[in-house]
Amino acid sequence: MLEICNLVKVYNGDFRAVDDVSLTIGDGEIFGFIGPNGAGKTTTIKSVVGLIEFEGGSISFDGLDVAKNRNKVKEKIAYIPDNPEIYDNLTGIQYLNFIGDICSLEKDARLKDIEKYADMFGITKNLGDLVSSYSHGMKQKLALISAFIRHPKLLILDEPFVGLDPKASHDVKEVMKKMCEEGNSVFFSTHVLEVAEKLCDKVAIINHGKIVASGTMEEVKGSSSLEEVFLSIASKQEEE
Amino acid sequence: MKKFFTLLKVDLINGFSLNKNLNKKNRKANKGSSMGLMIFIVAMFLIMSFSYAFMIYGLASGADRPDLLLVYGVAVGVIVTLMMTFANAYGTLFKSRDFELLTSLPVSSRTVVASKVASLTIVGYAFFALMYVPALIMYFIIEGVSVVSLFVSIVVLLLGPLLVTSLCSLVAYIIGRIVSRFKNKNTISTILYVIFTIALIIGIYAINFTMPHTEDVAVLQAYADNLYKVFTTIYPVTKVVVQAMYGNLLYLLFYVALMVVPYILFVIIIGNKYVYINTHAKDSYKTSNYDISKEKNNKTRGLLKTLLQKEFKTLVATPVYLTNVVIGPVMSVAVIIFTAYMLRYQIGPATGEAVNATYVISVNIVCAITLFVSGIAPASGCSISMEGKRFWIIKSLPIDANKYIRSKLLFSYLLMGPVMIIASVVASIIVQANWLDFICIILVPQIAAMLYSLIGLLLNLKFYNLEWDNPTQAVKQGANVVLPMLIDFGIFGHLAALVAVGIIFEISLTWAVLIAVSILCLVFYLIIRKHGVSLYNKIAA
Repeated sequence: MLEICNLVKVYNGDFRAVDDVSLTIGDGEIFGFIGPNGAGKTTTIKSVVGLIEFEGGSISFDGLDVAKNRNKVKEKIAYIPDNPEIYDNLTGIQYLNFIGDICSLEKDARLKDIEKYADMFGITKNLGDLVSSYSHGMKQKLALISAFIRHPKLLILDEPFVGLDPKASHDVKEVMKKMCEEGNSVFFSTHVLEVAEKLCDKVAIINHGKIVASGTMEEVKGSSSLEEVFLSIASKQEEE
Repeated sequence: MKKFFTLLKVDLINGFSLNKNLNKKNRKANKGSSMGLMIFIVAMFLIMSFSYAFMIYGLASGADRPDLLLVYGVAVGVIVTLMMTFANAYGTLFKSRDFELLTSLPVSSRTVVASKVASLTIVGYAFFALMYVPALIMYFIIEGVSVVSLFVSIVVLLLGPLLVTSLCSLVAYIIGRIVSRFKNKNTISTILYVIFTIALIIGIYAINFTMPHTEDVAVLQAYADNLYKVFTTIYPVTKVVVQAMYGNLLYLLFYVALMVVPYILFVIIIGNKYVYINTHAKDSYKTSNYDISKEKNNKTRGLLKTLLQKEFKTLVATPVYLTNVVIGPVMSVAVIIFTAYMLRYQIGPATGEAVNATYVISVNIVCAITLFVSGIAPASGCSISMEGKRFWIIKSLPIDANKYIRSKLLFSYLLMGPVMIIASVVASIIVQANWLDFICIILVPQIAAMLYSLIGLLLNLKFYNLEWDNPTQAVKQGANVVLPMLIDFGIFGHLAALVAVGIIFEISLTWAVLIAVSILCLVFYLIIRKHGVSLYNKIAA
């Protein structure tokens, strides 16, 4: 279980990019994190993964304080950014083996997983090519495979559907669902509200660094669509 | 013309992160440390440049050859500009990430190239002025200032870096043309860059000169003439500058033509092939026929080995990085062995009463030289910056920060350490070192290589640059690159003084150098141990 309590991240001394954010993502949940551009989604996600330090609050995963147990937590979570920059000078398989070696993944199981997910995304034949020759979508797929083969307890994805073709998007959603059926969790940010509405058990809306709505999908949207709720919250905030 | 200036403005704002550096909020957040550091670095260079100019001033005034200062200022200014522009040119012209954006805009490729070359030239101005202006001031002190000489000196300053920028662009163009024909572009461009760099260094080193220690006017004049010849041979254009300074208008016009015409020509030539070279230089070889069953025979690797392998792959695949960190060790071997040979056979035969003095000079100097060259461009000085926008991979993986730091140190040491063993063993044999000096001469560069790896890494953890568009920005620019060099000069300066004491008293002090370097190494190791992880954690990926 991921618990974010009163998280505060300040840039340049006075800009509160994330302001008192609290969220709980339980085991087996798919949690959608939505908000306008610059609302604080990526900053929150980066704080959870340990990519940036934060000024206030706490983040814990399975009872472990993220700030104090970085490596133990990172062993259990996998993260993919919105625009994954990958080592251009490695081949696809070299990159996956790099991740596998760092995470001490057992060789045979790793290979089976690589084959399974690479086949699913249709990039098995390209694994011997340099990453620099990959399209944006192929890099996204490679990054996703590197996360899937780790079988993380928590998968954190920042805008995972950007650049993916419809089949790949469908496949990613299926993997996410399957992961959650096995008791793992997925925490992802997205601008595609229809996807969030169909896929997520819980959702949180962030704007100007603050959580403006959070809860189960039914609690947040009620009888309206998620898009209507999001637009109404965003326009209210603008008026204020 | 408007488009050219717009492109140039954006290139400079982006390249030098002007918005970030000039923004009041950012300055406040950095607590002025970057600005202070920049002032310190510029001040250090100015002190160095004025010191050299002052030395030449002494010779020029003693030998009554003020024009020596002019040829020195222009020639050395051009050499420094050449060194700094050479590695940047290829990355700026053909590896820049804004290629697609710029070519999609309604602007001609010649204008794009002109703006790129102009941006290279502006960087060149800073280095050219740094060497040229102090020499010019000394020249004016001897000769006095006239309207003509002031006008000519301004023209020389304004046009000085143009020819050398054109030459660097031409080399980049040649490399780009050759590379675009091959599949293994990175390997080919790396090999070509290494060849060009070695040729450049050998060219400069081939001209041998030593400063006189005499007040005899005839001797001084002979040396001044010799030095004048050296500078005019390195850069014959200096002769034209001298004639122009004497008020010869034709020479001034010739100088302007020499600087401007090649510049315009290269812009036109490169402009015509800009899209072709960029497109082909970035193409990656694609087979799309990978067979995953081959993987079953491969073994898994440990964390340290995996990280080291990644470092070496990045090194081999990045020409400017490889050139920067590999040329150092290669040249170090040559410099150490050459110095040892010179000491053994040039100082004089080690016979009679001179035995001890000759021996002491040889071992002390060899020891000091090995110490100095071990600190040339440690790879750790830019290895964090080289992670660039891919640093998220490392930071999001369960990698122990200490092990990561260790891998960076080991990588940096491995590039210098083994090479220095060969160099120091050969040098010790040449100078016929006794067993104690032999051990010290071997150990000093090993510990020094470790020391400079620690210093480089510490500085890079503090002054990292992950937001680069071409790797040259990570390898060649920033405090993390300049500071290790200055520290190397500082440590060498202090320990050279120790060695000088040894030479004066005719005792070998290689053991004292070894102890001093070991203490410094231990101090920096403890600093890294205490602050390394927290600095690593503070880096925002």
